[in-house]
Amino acid sequence: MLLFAALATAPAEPETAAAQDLAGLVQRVAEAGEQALSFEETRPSSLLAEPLTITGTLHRDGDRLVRETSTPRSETQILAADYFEVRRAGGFRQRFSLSRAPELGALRQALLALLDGDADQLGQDFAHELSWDDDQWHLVLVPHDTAMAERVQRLELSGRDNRLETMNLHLVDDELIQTRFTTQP
Amino acid sequence: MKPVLKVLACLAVLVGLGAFAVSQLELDYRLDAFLPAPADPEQALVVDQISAGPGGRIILAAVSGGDSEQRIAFSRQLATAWRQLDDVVRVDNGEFQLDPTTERRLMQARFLLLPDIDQRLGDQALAETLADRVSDLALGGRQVEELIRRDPLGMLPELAARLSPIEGTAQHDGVWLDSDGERALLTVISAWPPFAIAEQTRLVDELQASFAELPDSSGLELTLGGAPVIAADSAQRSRSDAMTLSLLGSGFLLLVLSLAWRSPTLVLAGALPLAAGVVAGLLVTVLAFDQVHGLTLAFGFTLLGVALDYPIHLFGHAGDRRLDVAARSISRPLLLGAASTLIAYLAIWFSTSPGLAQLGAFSAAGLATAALVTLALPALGIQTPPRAPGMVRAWPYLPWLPLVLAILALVSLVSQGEQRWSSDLTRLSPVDSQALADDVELRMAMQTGDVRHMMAVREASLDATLEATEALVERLPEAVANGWLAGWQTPTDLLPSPARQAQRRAAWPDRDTLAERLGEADPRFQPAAFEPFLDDLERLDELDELGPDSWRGTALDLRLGSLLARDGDGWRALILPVGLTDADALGDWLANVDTSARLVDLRATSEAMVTAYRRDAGLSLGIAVALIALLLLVRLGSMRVTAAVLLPPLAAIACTAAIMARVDGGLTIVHLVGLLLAGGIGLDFAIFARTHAGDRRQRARTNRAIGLCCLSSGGVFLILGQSDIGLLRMLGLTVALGILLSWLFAKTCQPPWRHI
Repeated sequence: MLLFAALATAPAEPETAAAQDLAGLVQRVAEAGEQALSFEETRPSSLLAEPLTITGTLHRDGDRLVRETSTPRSETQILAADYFEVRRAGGFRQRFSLSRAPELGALRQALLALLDGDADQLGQDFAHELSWDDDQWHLVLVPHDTAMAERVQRLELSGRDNRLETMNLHLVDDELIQTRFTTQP
Repeated sequence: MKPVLKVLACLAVLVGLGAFAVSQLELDYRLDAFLPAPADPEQALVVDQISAGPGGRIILAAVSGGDSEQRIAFSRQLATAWRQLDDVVRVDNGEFQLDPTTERRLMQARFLLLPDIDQRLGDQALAETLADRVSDLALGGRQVEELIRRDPLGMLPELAARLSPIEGTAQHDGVWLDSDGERALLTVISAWPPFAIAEQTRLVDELQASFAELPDSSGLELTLGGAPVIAADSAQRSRSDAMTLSLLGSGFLLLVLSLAWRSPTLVLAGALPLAAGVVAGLLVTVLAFDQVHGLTLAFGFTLLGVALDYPIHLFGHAGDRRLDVAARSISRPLLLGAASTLIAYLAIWFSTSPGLAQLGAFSAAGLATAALVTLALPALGIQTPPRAPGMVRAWPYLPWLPLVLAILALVSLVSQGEQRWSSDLTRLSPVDSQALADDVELRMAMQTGDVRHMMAVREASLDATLEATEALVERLPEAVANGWLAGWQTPTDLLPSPARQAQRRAAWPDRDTLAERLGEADPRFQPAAFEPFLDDLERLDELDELGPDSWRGTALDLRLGSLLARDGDGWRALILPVGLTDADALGDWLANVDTSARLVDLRATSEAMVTAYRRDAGLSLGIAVALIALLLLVRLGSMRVTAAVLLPPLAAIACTAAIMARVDGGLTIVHLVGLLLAGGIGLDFAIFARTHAGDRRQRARTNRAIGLCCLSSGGVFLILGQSDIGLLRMLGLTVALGILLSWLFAKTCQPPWRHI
């Protein structure tokens, strides 16, 4: 299994102009680490009294992104090219078409491209804007795909040096899904 | 008027009559037309399953070639493309996606469809269900929220899982694959019933065209199966294959007869008995039957080829005599032969298989007409070119040879034991054997349940049938616990009995009670989160009771229809076992449980049916042979002569049967029909060979006529035997071989003329 990137590893090297473009960034993030990535995601829901917090780890499996959550409960969520699947204890499996939740497609595309160091793919799927403040970076992605754009306004990724720290998924109805990434303990 | 003009005028009249008959003709291409009529409910079930049942709309498709990723991606493209077609109700390639109509109707009916309501609403169960919904929210977006508001108990996904069309088929990335992963599998539900041949053919063409148009289809191969494909294929083949072969056969006849008679007028006049026979056959069939199977005609035209022998005998016996003299000299043997063959055709007419009955009627009417028209031909004033009778060639007189060969043939048949019969019902289907093999193979790959076994419940009323089904389903977990099967599909999943529906209706609490319990079960949800669900619950009183028509217009109608159907005065429900491992144990258990349900083994039933069918047919043919023998005895007046006339055709039949049983791996009813025809022709040979054996000139004419008959009829059937359709091939080869042997035996049994 290929493991996910984004770790504080070697001390930051002096930034050059070339390393500060998108290709340089994704390459360094991709090279940074081999461990699974822990995440904490917060998303509001009109059904719930409080926003929902989801914690767990992320890794890739081929062209699929796999989330193993521990809260709100332990389950496996698989994001593939055109479906997402949920596996729960007791053999429960359910699969949905990704067209039911296009935002998950945006999430998968962005994270997989970042993980592969594939700036070209990222450029194909999204319009992007990268800004730097010292070793802090901020990447805004807007999906090209019209079906996805109907649901996803933009995706904001930020981090320090070769580490991905947060991801904010802005949906069209002002819904915001916030994710913080930490290294696994 | 010149004779040739008279002949042409007669032909014109016949063409007119024929055109009228054809205009009255209602063709059908049902697959079961050549199967025997079912004798009991189990057999009726078999015929239903094989032919026009609701399952008859399902087309199975397999995509092979390329690598696994290519096939999976292509399966999705293909499903998307096929869903655009107008003639398609539904396409499945793995994911069970509810279409909006079906989803809406299931949502309405969900309170009545799921069991164990009290358990679902227990504190613990509710808390777990709502925790599942929180997890759903963790992944899904607004769409999931909407679903949860309306269905917090997850009833719709549960129903969808229960109703998923095929359980147990291997999936990869949501796409069905066969067990080796070498082919992607899809199902298409046609918008047309199986007997709408033109539409089914169009759909099959559309499916193939749309496959070929996809840019990624190069290097991939599409195989289609299922009743609509077979029906379309069968119709096309009966037309193209049989027509091509008939044309070839006619061309062959024309050539042979032109060479033999060397007179265009004679060739035209020789066509008159056949043409009259065809028209008479058509008229009788149209009058006697509502619909005529396409293959009856294809076969019928061919079988009437026998009638072509009649003018050959007539013209052959004319030589340098006037034609009416010749007609008088052959009328006795010709009518005797025709009457004998007629007895056998009448026996087929009384067959319980509608297709064979039509064939018998067509051939009997055609044959009788052709014989009479032949004897009337001299009235047209035609003359045969003068011709010397020719030499009587010395043939060895070896009457013991057919006898010895017949005994050897019988020994061979006896030693073959039961294997001399083939009880495979599918071999009787007028379908290309490759198409059938593809179909069976695709079904296996798809594992559409256990297609061989089903539990059948039959009661006098719909309600009683549903209640009996529910009673059995309640006990089935015992059988599952014993490891005999993994699960089942029952019509009561979609249509519970009225009593059960009322019970469930009453089990649901009122709105306020359930709202309170939901709030207590998981305080994380907003108090108003499930308003749409509670609204639905409140409207439960207004919900109509579900009936057999409740799923009309949805994809589920087919499923219910295939599991529940009217059966004569009553109703029949089928419970399909899933993952059946021990049919015998399940059958024994059913017999001991207090239920009217029985385990039906489709294959065993169909084989028993074919065996009974063959026994019936064998009996009527046996009676026919006895009647023929009696007729001959009365007309010929001598036991010895009768035996001598019967020996060549009977020996030819025995030898042909023995050879075909070895070659074709067992005889079917089609072989029996072929043997009967060959016997009829062979009997004519024997009668003519015997009747005119004493007169040198007559004998020479007779032998030449018989030789010509053997060449023309044998050749035509040999051409028919080249068909791809198993039925035509078996028939053609059997008759061709039978004719050849009949001719040989008739010659070897003809006593040397100077000895008479």
